[in-house]
Amino acid sequence: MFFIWLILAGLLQLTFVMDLNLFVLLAVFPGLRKGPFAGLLMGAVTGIFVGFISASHFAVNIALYSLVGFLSGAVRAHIYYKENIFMEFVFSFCGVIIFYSAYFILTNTVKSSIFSTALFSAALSPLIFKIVKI
Amino acid sequence: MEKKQFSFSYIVIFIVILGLLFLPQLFSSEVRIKILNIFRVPLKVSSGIFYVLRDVSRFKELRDENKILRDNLSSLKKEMLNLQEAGLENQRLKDLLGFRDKEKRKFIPAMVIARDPLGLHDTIIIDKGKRDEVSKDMVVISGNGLVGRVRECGWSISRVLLITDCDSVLSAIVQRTREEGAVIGTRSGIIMKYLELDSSVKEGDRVMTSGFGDVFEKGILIGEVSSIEKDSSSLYMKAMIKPEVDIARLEEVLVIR
Repeated sequence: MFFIWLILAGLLQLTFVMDLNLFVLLAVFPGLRKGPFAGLLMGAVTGIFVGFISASHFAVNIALYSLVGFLSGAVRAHIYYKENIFMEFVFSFCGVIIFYSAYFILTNTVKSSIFSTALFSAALSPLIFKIVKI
Repeated sequence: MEKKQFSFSYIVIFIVILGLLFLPQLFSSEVRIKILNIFRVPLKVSSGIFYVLRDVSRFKELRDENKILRDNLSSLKKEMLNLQEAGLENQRLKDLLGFRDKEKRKFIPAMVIARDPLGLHDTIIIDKGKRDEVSKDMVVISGNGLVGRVRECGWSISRVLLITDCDSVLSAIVQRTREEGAVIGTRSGIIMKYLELDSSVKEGDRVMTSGFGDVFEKGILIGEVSSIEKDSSSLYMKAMIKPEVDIARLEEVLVIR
């Protein structure tokens, strides 16, 4: 089922010009629900998929999506985490910021509107998480 | 139980590291575009939906644009008649002097079906590939202006590197002054670098491809100079260029064969 969401997210991101990063949400979700290693694994799968469909660096994608998935699970395990919209928003927002910042550090490629992308993605995260959960 | 979980974690980390090391070598850009080729049909459908939705939301703007274009059409028809006359005269004179015509360019029309999903690179995916005789490094234009060049080519899709991408560099010439420079893509637009300090380039000057290098042929319009300033090194001038083509709203392009 995860792969279907991944492909749908890919089609949406490829076609619609949006300030969103649905892939980060798909890496954060397993981390929050199943722990750091599920986040790491699903993040790696997401990174491989993004590597195929985008012109960006293949290895950097795998590394960063794995990192975001792993971190979401690891942080969740070490703090008091209550499943609610606010927490999902915060984790998704931080995930997008970490992804684009690390991408800039590693490749010197910058996205023009990181903050708005993080904000819109995070705002959509409760809905996306609910759909993916089903 | 805990030991088992730990060893599983190490295996996962090991696999990820191996993947990071070997996957980029295994999946070259050619393999990646082949895999993306699988999504051609769903991408065409979703991009079609996107264009319809966008046109509906821009209905008023399109109606106004249509009115302006209709007004322009009549004056262009008159101009075309004059040009046809000039063309015939030109042909007669060429025949008289024994000039040979250059081989005529062929254009392959293509539809833009996707963009970079992360917004980190300025690339587009078009619905034409090797099947339609598109190959790597072919020049892509839209209307009168340069769009970019084919970077990767699959069976029925291709990835085009736009002139606004940070990886895009091409040799260009200012039409009026014949000064040469390098046109480089940046996140904030395109810049023409390495103009001399005493350059007479001014706002509104047209910038075209110079024909140096193997990819871009001479005389394709890139855009107009919007401002000119000294580079931070103070060794040369740089000109900001407004692209002739609205890169953000590309729907159809032409690949030059």
